[in-house]
Amino acid sequence: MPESLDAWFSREILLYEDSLVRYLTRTWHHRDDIHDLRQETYVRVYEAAARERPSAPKSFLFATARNLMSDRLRRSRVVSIEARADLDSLNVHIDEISPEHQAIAHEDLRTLLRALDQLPPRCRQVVWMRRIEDLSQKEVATRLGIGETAVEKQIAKAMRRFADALFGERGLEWIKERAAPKKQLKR
Amino acid sequence: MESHRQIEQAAAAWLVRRDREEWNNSDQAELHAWLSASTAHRVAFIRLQTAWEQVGRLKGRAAGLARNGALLSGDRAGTLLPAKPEAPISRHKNLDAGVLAKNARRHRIRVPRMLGASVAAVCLAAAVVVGWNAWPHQGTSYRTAIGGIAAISMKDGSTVTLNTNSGIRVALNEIERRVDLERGEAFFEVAKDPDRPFVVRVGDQRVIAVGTKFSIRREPNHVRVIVTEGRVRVEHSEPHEPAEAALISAGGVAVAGAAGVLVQDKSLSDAEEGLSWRQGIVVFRETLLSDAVAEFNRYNTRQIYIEDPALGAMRIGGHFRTHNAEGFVRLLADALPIRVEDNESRIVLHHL
Repeated sequence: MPESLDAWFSREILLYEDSLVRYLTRTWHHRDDIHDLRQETYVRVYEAAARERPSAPKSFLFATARNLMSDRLRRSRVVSIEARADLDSLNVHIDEISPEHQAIAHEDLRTLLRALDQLPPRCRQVVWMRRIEDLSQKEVATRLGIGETAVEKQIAKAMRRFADALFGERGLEWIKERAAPKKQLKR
Repeated sequence: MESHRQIEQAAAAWLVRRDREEWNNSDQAELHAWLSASTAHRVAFIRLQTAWEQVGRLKGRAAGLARNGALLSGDRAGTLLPAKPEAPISRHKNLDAGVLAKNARRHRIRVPRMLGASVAAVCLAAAVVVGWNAWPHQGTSYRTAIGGIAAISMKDGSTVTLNTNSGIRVALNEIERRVDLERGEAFFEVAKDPDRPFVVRVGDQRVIAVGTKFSIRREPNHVRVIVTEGRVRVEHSEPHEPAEAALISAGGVAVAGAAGVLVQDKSLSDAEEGLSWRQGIVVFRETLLSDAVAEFNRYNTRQIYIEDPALGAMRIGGHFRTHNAEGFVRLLADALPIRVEDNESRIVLHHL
């Protein structure tokens, strides 16, 4: 039985987030756009897959990202001296070296543990009680003597961090490394 | 225009809100509306949900350590282990504001950082709850051949009858009775045990019962459930909307697919026609010949093949013995314009 689109998406596409982000970062020179580009690529892939499941998810993902960047370039009226994107690399199919499914699974736990470790103390505590001790949000709130809303805020923050860590950790670190001396174009 | 960051924040907010005890059907409808409003919403939601579900895997690690107190294998820098954060002083204990302030300064929440530590071992507090997510991939497997049928008695008193070309894996423990229907079709007579739900996993779906009789049939695109006694719950194992579960009672015939669950309410005798295979009989009612032939082919190694699609579109009815393909075909030739070509490897039906 074919799995649901959502399950396929999280298994076959999110897997390549770090490679995707690296590709986007290398090709598109506006650091601020990367997050949006990534999500827009996901939207296009998801919608296309809803019509027909691509047989080669990774290629499809990268091709979609490439087309998205091309589209944005075409639509952009401002031609600046410093190119907004590396046009040449758009035309080249970059075959990213990306980890096998098995390797990712092994890396996952270490990445998660590291991400857990790097959470701010209160956040980490809430995540521990909620996700590892399996207490309800209400119970966590009661035990810590804080409101449920505060607990929810911590969890929401943790969710975003874990997603970034799990899918894009390597990509994000790479961005941080590259960001230092580069001149940023003002919009 | 929403930015993707805003969407991500909203998705996280939805996920935590869904975790509240008071989550109800109207919340559910609101979430469905938000997810449907834009693919960007849905994609952000899936991404966060997937990561959050992965965090649950840490539960298994924590439990493994708590049980035997031994080291988990770590990386070169030391041992990467989650350390249980120390419990904070409860702010409600001390009514004296002055003392409270002093305590607050002195007893700030300290959560030791483990990364890069050269500490060889860390013991987790005994209070860590064992996570049942760490399910050992085990259990006993049972298979039937084409044309086979088998009844399996489980230790809890339940019985599973396997139909042709079917396979299950069974695992029982203290909190759950679990069966994986890996292939084909099975009829379950579940012994009552309110402390231990009986959970059958079929692909993406789960069928949960307490004390009932029902059958499950696994198809390429869907799962069919027929309930003849009691009640079962059918749900998608990874629902992005919790309201996808359906409750089916006796007489119900449900088809569960990626899009949801469709339930038909039939009389008990009509529903039980779907279980007649247990007596070696298959029932057709205005059934397309192509479907009827496909059904017969489940039970016989010598397959029936319809040469002319126009033939396949004809409808037939009746009761037939599953193992008597020749008899079936002869009856067809009597009633319909069919010429039968009886080969050694297969039976071909030609349009006269």
